[in-house]
Amino acid sequence: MGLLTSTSSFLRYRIEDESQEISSENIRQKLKDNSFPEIPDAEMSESVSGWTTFENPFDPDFESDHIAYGNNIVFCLRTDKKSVPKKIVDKHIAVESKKAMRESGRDYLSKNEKKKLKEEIILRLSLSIPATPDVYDVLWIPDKKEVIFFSGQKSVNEVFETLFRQTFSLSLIRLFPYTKVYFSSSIEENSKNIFYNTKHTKIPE
Amino acid sequence: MIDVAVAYNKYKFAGYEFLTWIWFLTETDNKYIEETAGDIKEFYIGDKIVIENFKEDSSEKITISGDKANLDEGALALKKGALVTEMKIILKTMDDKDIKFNIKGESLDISGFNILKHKFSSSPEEIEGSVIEKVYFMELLTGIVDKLFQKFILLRISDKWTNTELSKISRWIDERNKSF
Repeated sequence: MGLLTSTSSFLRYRIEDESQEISSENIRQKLKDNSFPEIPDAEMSESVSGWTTFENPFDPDFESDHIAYGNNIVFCLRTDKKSVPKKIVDKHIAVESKKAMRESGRDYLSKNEKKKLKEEIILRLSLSIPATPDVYDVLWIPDKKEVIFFSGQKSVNEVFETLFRQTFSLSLIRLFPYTKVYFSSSIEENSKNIFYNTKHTKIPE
Repeated sequence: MIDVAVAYNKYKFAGYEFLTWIWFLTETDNKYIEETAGDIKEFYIGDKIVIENFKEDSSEKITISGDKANLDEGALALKKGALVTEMKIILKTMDDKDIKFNIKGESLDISGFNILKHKFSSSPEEIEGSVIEKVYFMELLTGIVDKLFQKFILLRISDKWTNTELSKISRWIDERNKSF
């Protein structure tokens, strides 16, 4: 569902700070500084994210890979996530809860103890399984101060927005009906104010 | 600027009304859409439309899809106060490319964006050309959505909306339901 797949899905963002100009070489350096960290599976916890290149998402070279395509910048967000199947977690919880109760001499575990036990089990199991990588394309259109992200998954969008802000010190605002009007340079301020006070009107029968 | 999450929910209706207006125009004044959009030969509704009727504590949703989708049931839902929340649109470009996409009213997000019978090469030698070509088509599409949405907003906040446009839409719904 990415930039060059036959079918694409995407969200549009507007860069909030209009005054800040950023060169493609500056962008390249910032992407490199926040690139996807290669961590061995055995040392990686639940999830890791970072930037990579569009040309070589699994083996990027930020010195030589393209990031400028025409007037636009293209790169990718890579997120590697470990997901331990629930049934495996449940099995370990059942066995280790019993053991913990036997050792404590009680026939119950407190809410906090159960929570801590579950977290420890997930962390331990995570270290023994490989992470699943996902790559999402990013298209930055500087002329329009617009960024297009090729995913509609809420959790991934949040990771993208946070990492983008940390990397470039720029905030992204999703474009939807209200923000489209707010950022429109073709709609006058008084018209915008009328829209802000508008409510849905039913179509008369 | 108000809080983004609050604004998203508060102004969803504008996107739903926009898509409902687009459906109305495709059946009553498609030339207006094509002229407003510019750079295209044709604009029509594809094989999916989602209509929802929002009530105080619930909502009813109708999805009409398929190659020979009949929109009559949707028109009946409009008569009962429903609005279009999502639809598939097909554009024919000046060089006869058919662009198909799905648009959601609440966010105006695009999914299923597909240029029919057109393949983008991802070979290393041609990748740059493919990216530039795909971005051209994306900007064409988003530009058209933006132009139509802006036209809608300017109409929506004008007196013309309540004085004439709403009754035109109402008459169109009535006519559609008469022939159903």
